[in-house]
Amino acid sequence: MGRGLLPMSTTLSALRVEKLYRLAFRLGLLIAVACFVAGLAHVAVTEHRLPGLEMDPLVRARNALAQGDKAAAAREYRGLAAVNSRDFDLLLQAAEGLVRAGDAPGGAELIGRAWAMNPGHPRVQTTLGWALYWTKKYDEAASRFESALRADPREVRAHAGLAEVRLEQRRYAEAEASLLRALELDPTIASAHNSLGVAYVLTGRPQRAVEEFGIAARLTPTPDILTNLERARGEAAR
Amino acid sequence: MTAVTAVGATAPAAALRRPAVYPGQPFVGFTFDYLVIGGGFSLLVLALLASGTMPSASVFLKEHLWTFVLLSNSAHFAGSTVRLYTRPGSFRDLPFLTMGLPLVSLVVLALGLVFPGALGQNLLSLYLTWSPYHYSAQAYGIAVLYCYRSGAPWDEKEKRWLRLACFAPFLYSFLTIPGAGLTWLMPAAALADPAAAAVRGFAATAAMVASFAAPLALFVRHQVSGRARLPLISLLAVLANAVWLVLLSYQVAMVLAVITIFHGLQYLAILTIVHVKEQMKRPGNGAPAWRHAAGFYARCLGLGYLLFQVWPHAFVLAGFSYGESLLLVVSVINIHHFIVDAFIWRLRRDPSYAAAAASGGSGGDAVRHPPAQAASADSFRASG
Repeated sequence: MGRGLLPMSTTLSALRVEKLYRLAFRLGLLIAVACFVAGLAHVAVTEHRLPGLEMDPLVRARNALAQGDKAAAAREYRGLAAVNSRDFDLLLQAAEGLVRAGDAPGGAELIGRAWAMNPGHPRVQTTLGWALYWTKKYDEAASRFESALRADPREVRAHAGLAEVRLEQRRYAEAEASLLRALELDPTIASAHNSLGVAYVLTGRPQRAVEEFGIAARLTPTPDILTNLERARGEAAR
Repeated sequence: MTAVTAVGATAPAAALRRPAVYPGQPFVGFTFDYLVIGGGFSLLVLALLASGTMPSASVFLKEHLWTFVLLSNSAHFAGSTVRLYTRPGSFRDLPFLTMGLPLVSLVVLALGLVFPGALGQNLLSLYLTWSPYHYSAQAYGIAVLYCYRSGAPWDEKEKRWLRLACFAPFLYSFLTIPGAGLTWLMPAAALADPAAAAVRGFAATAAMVASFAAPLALFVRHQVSGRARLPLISLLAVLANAVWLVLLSYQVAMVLAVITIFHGLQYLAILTIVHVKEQMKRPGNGAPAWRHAAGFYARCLGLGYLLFQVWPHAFVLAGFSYGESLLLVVSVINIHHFIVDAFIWRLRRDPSYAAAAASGGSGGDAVRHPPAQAASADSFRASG
């Protein structure tokens, strides 16, 4: 008798489990579809386009900075640092971003965390250099970049940073040399192509500037770079 | 007597047919298999990027990086899900995977977003730790798949050696990746201890050497012994994975993206071959192979777009930042993919194996293993 009951209870339990599975599946599907619709609608309404092909977690922060929305940029950088505090490079990028967004203490705190992860690493020196650059302390920034380059002559962003300082100091030949070195190490840095274009314009070589702005625009078509490209084209045509 | 004669006659004939280095039995053709499934194209592209001789190639790649990522990597992630839900009997055989896991994933994702410090960053570290394992498992799966297609019997001992050779790059990644693997699981103070650092450094160097030396030694040993020979394409797939995980800086964004593109290509190629073979064998099939392949890929591409390009924006609408939404969506999709893969390629008597391992030819080149053996966990485990 007892033996006879077992299969029945087992069947009932199996049915219950199957019902639960089906319910879970429908709920999951509903949430997923709702998320897709919400995501599409959000971008369509706020940006008047479909979501584009971009998977860089920093893209929104950079765009916000470019548009002068420092609060939104800072929020993005803080969110990234919270969820990815073990990623050394991302932590440094978030630190620099926070300084640019006006949150220098927040940036310093992240640089401190990165320093604790890799004490004395040239990339921490580079980020410190950039933080000083964005706060217009150019001599101190140059010193940090040079220190990073002594530790690692292949530190691309230190070359690029030193070039930015030299541009600010109107030492164009040195800026150009640093930018060419940076682009030799990594030809895909849009900001370095843009700065090299600026150096060429300022030293009377608009044709070469057009080439550099053109590459920068292909890599990152921000409004600033596109404006530079148009201006350089105008100068080259004269 | 007749049977003995037949066996005695076919064995030398088979041996005579083989070239000195056995290239393997291709699925599509030698060029396609060596470049895409074996990873040869990835080595060419990465060598070009590393040499710095063509900066315009780097610029072109960076310019179109996310398009390539969508076409290959995003589609490959979606591919395992499409495969799961289109494989006959999936709902019956794998109820938790098909019906329970999606909801569990959504809940974990939501909790990760709400608790980024306590859960979110651990999800990210888990995905980064698991990913090299997944890559190594895929290299192993591809290597064994071509071995089966070569028709040579493999015993457990030989498979264990091959597995060790394939997983050495994972061990290297586990020991060295910042923010994942050992650095995630061990306290920083313990790792900073000079003795621990020295042991870790030695182990990482040993794993680095083993990543290249072990598969090469295995290949040479097989060539010398003259039996159960590892095809050249299997060696290429294992070495390509070693290059991806060991020689290249795994966390540099562009290199990482390029590696994921080629990993995705490998996976999509095998998955599409399996899908098309199954569809072509269906009774009443009237469509040509290309139509099945195109239809399958279109579904993978569409789902890949929704998962990676659209989904993170939903959480932005809910008040989270885009960066953390994207990172956690990517983490959860990766973990879901690793779990699904481990099951869909592991089932015994899974039709995938018969479809993938069969050479399509006849006679000596056909698969000589009983279906259960060909369908073992080792025949193509694209994931861990």
